[in-house]
Amino acid sequence: MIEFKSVTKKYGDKVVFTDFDLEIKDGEITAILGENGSGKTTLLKMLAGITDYEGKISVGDRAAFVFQEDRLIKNLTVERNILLVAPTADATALLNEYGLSGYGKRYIKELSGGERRKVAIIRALAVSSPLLIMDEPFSSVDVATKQKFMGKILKERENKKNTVVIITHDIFEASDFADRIVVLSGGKIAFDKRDFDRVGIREEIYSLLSKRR
Amino acid sequence: MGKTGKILNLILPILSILLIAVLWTVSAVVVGDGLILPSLSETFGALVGLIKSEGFYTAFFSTMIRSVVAFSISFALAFIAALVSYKYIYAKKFLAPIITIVRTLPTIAVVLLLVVWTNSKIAPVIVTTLVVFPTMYSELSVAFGGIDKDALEMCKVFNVGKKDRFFKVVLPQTAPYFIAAAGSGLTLNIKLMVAAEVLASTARSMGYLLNTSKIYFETATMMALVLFTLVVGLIIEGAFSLLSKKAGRFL
Repeated sequence: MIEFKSVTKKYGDKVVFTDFDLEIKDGEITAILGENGSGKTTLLKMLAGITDYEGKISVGDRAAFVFQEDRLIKNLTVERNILLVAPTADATALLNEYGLSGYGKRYIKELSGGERRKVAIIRALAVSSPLLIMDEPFSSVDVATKQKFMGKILKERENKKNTVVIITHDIFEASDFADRIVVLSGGKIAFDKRDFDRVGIREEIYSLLSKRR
Repeated sequence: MGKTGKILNLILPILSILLIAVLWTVSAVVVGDGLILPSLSETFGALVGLIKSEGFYTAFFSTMIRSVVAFSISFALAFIAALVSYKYIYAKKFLAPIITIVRTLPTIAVVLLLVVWTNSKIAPVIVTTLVVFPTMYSELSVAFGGIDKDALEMCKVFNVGKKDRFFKVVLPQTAPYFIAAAGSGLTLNIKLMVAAEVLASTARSMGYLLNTSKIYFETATMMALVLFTLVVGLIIEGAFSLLSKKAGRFL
């Protein structure tokens, strides 16, 4: 289980979170939504341990991460980028699975933006971690590949009870994919729901986010 | 690059060398005195004479060895200083005045002082080490500053080991810049070494040959020595530039 307990986070004088509490159950897919600057990315950075904070965060498992930026190593080929974080993975098979067959030996500069994004997601999936954290992962991925990735993540969760935390701006993505939706606003939880009606919740969140604008 | 671009890349350097040769020839004809400005053919004649003489090789290799030794010391010191400055901001602030002082050292005065304190073989090595060090430090600092911090953060999140981080991320990303810096640094080192050898009257050196030619008004030999040093510098810089491009093929 992931647990945020009385977490406070500041960037200089700017307070992002004050005494923030959140629990995420094992095997749950949680989508985090919110307007720009609501603290979504900071929340994930704290989870990944790449930004400091006050309070306590328990993560438990080693996380696989899809960053908002691709963060691929430009001096390594696509295959080596995957093997760097997942040395035992079958990089070629994974690349073939997502329509990137023959891309293994290419350098990052030889890929399009969408292809880079795919590689960044494949890299995280190659780790086979019980915890997958994704920051706007499908922003530049075509619909078919996005469905394929979502299907794979759902299947992994079904088989291995993986925990997934995903930040997204897409209400449809959140409602189709997640078991739980959390909306952040000004560093606080403005909305938190499990077992929702997939159509109804879209209206609910849309109206909530519209009001806050 | 298109076909025209490739042809221009080949032709333009040849044209620029031809222009220098034409200017040299015209100037030599206008001056009309081989003691002041020897012609191209006189200079090449002197160069052939130098290459055939035994003393030339001893002088050339001893200058090269001294240059390589001095360059290796300044590169190693600059590498350590740049790495420490990259890791610790206070080290950078601490080193800044030292680098400025070393950069502004009056080279000629330092050579003369060092000849008094040491000897004519060691003085040029110390002075070229000191003069090249700040330039190497600046270039290597730029190389370290260019390391992709997001990539390193990603490695940390994915628990990539320190060895892999260094050999698969840091080193390949900095190597092209290191190699380019080494090429220009070594060329600068050779030029400075010859100058320092002239001042220190270092026996059996390129500087010594240059000084002797000056004393005996052998201008063609002086020009031949300058030309030879220039060609060696160009070859070194070209070789390092090719290596740098190869190391940075992913950029």
